[in-house]
Amino acid sequence: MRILALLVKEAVQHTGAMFGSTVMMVGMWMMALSFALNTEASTLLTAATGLVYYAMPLAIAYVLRRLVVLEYDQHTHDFLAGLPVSAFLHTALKYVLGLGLVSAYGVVAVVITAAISSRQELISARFLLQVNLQVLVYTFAWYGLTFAAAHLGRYRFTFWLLAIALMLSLEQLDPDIYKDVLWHSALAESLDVTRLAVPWGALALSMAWGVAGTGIGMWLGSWQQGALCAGWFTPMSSREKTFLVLVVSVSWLSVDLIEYVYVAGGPSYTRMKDVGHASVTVRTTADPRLTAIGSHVAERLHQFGVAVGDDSWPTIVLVPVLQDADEDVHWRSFEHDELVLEVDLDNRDHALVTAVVYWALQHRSRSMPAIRGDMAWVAYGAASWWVGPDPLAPDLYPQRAGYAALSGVDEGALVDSLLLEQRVGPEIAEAVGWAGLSVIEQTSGRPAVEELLGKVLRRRRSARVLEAVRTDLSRPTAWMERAAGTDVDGFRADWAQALKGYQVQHAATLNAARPEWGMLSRTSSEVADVVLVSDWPGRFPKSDVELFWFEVPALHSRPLDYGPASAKDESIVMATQSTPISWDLRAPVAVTYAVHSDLLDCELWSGLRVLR
Amino acid sequence: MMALLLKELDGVRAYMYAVLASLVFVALDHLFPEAAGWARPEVLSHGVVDWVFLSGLLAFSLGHTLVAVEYTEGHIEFLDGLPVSRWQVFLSKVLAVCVPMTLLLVGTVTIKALTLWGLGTPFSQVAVEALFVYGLRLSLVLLAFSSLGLAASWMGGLGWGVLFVMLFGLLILSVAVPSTRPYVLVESMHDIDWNGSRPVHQWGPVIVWGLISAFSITLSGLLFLGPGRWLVKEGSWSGAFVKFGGLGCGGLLFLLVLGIASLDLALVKAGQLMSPTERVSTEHFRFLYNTADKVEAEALIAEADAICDTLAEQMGNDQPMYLEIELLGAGRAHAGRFLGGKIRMALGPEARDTLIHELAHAHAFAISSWAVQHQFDHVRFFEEGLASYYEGKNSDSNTDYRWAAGVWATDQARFDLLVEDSLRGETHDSDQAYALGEQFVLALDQEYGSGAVACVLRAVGDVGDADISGLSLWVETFGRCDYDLDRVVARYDSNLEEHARSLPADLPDIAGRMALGGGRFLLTDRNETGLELLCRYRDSVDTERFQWEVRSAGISGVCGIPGTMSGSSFQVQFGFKLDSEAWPVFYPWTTSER
Repeated sequence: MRILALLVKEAVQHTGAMFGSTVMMVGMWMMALSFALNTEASTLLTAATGLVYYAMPLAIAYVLRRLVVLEYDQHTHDFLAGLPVSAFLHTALKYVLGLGLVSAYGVVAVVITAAISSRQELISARFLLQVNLQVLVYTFAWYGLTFAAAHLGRYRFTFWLLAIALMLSLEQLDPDIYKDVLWHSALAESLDVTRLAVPWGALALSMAWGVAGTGIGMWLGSWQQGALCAGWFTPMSSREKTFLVLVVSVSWLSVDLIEYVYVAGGPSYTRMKDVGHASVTVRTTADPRLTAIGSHVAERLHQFGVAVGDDSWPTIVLVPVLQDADEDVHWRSFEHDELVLEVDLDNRDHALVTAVVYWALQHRSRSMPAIRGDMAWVAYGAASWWVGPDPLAPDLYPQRAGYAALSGVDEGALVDSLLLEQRVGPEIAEAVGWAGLSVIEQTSGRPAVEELLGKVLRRRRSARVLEAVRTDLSRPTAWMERAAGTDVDGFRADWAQALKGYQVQHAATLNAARPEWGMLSRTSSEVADVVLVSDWPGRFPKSDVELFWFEVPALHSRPLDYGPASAKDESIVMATQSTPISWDLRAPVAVTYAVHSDLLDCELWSGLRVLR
Repeated sequence: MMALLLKELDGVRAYMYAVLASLVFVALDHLFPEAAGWARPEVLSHGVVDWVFLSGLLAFSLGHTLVAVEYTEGHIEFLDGLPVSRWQVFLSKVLAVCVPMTLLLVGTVTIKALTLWGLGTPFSQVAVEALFVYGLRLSLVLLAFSSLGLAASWMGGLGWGVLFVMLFGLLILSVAVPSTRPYVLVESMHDIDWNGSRPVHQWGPVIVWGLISAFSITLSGLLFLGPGRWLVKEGSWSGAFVKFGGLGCGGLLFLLVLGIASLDLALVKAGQLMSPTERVSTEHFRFLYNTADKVEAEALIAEADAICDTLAEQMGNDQPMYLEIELLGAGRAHAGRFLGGKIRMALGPEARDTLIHELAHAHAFAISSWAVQHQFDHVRFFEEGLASYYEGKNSDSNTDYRWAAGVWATDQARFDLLVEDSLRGETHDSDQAYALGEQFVLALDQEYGSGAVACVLRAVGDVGDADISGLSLWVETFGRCDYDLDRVVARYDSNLEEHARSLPADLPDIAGRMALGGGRFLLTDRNETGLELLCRYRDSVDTERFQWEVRSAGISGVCGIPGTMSGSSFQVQFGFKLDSEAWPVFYPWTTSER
């Protein structure tokens, strides 16, 4: 009788609110149904499960606010405490009443949705039963946790804010966290997947959360006749408010930082064959040629590590590409400490080994070229210097380096390799770097080059701004002077002299490849026209020319993000026709021509113009 | 006055701590990203939205807790007893608000400046101007939020609701009327606008929000002089009035949305939901179809069990098969779908082929012990390919490999990308997985015989849900079957090259440019092949497949841009059709800005 009286009291007290929450759920269900009908879901039951997944937590929070929180806030709990019933009993009654109501929302939504869709889809009794079970368990889990949180009084907002921050943080560590760890698991997987088999593990997980929440809530509500949590419903002190503001600020900002300090997932290429050597792991498919290249790369990098005293390399994964690629070796990704490189097997092995080593070193020195342009030449030339010239084309680097001198690269440009690369092209810039290291080798010996490489390249990919600042202050120029055994000006002079010393075959032909041929004009805020003003050098096929363009964004000291504006298009070398270049930023743009030279087996860039 | 200020500063100590702690996090946030990943302007925009929003909330909260509370908690009597005017009290509160806000502003700008300096940016006029614009916008946000907080404090807790409604309203306004975006406080902080190499900003938002802030502070001050007492005293009444109004408006809005949803259900979908259907069971299937399609459905049902048995034999599936099949259509983008253990497909001339295709999926899932779904990103091409392969094998129509050949001829057939379907779908036509996958299955069949498909599927089942890359998975599965992956890939490539010989010598080389102020694309075929050119659009990489839109360029070479591409940025891919029957070959997606 006492139980009945309590039930009647709750029903009378909260009838209006329960009616309101029911109307709200019905409205949301209709919206969910409308949404599901307008998408291509495999079953209309997603309307019901979607409703439960997203709207049920709100309904539960509202119902428990009415049943539990207001009772303490309005001090009516004291009346209940004075009645001849145990605190456990009236806490349990409130619990059962609320749970029954919200469970009914879920079950009714599923059953009505199934009835509506019964003419349009085949829903077996087993599947219907399973969806109901999932909905009930999910509701029980949320209800149990919210029931516990409702008894926390003034601390419940802090609890929820921390819980949400924690969920967002965990989500960044593992996207499957809702399925594998949290109480959402009963409904976290789509019905397309769970239809195949009942997710017993997920149901058990949600159930465990629900049981834990229920246990805590019941304990808090009935301990000392509810006096314990009644004390938590007084207003916050200023010290607690300070703590709350701090906790909220710090926890929400922490969410952003999680992704920087932890990368989710384990190694993803571990099942591919390791063809590495000693300290270097290189993974490839079973392709014999790729295996040989990988093995060669590993050996070279291991020797490099021993020489410079640093052998912490990432795992290098070589992925074969079938079709013609823009580069010999293309950087695809770096995740899970695996550097994934796409290898175009149409190229010679030596070129591929050098290119892979180049990327490995670039990866290690990643921050250096961006921060210190005057030291980037070391990174560009290191791979070719370390691997050495191709036995089948031993003069290639000297020829390319000689071309740089021929094309007018002066001493000032030698230590500003980013601009140098944009003026003469990446392959020529690489040869210039190779020549610089060779000069140091000749004057100071091989150990001096290795010491310089060690300092410049011993920079992890994880280099932070703070480290960059430190490097900026520690004067890398001094490393260069120490390695060269002379001051910067003296080294530049020796270097320029060495470039001029390389005898370039077919100099006249190559010289013709770099006339001042380009003209740039801006026709609108988004389009620039490039027009050739002189005749095309007859020795160079028009089909081999490309136009590259760069953005020069504000606050950047040099052009960035270049890409071909017009690939292999003969019209760009016609003096009478302009080539429009579109770009989206209202930033200055720089344009250069690139023509392929069979003599040097590379692209020669020329005619860099900047339009502001 | 100084004593009053010190008292107020003591009151805002919590916010000082919060600002300091937050600045530590902002500094850490700027130290963590890799130096090489920064472009200098990105330093200014990094973390802006989160941080500015949080700063705004802090500012509002600070303003909200300072003024009206003196009345609600009865401290005003004590303050009136002091030898200072109420204006002085109010002024000390405003100054107290300024201290943590100034700390926040200076700290944030300093962190940005130090980061720029750390990246080696010379402190040119451009850098200083950019920092100034950033600081100006942040100070505007802080001023506006804190002054609104001062004014809203007289509404009590309802002030927060008013704030969020106002922010939401402004956000909606900025979507509906893009020119108002600079006036939306947090939203406008996303990017700094540049004119060439100079940062620019508008004075309009500064003036408008400056005036609103001045008005809010003055209003709060005037209320503090006296009327506030009445407001607080009658607060329960006025609060209830506003609350009732808010609830009423919210309720009306909710009913409106509810009404639209109901109307949609009643008018558009009711006929579909209520149309009469029939059910038929066979040895392997339970069918559902529209009564109006009875003849067509029964013809298909008559063949279904035999098709299932044939496929089971060809694919090497010895497990029992029982499926539900709904012959009621499968949506805009599909003739049929195998999803969630059932098949949903449309009836029509292609229904038999569709059934074979979808049943091949079902057998593949069964052979792999349903593990295909765990590795779907890596095996989708194979799964779709084998379905297409068996569809072709059991179909009366001739096999047509021109689609795959066209994809190969346009340099889009790389195997290493096929095994990463989501990644490939960001840049390429994801439908090409059907044609290329079919060629891969064909190559596998040619190299290792008809049992190879089942072996690979079982191997995928053995790998299960291991978190590995696509290429790693394929090396693993082929290793388990003792097959040579490179050999099959080489065969796949040579087959495609062979098929490509049947294509015209020149395929379209398409150049497209936007015209009419972003209303259409003008396409030019540099090779002048005369083939039909197409444009396909989607809002972004996340847009569902069935929401993509295709337009034909026609003889004039003009592709209209669908009205659904309403944003300033969308994605487009150009393509061509070898003839009216062929599947279109699309080039990679590009992003277009209006």
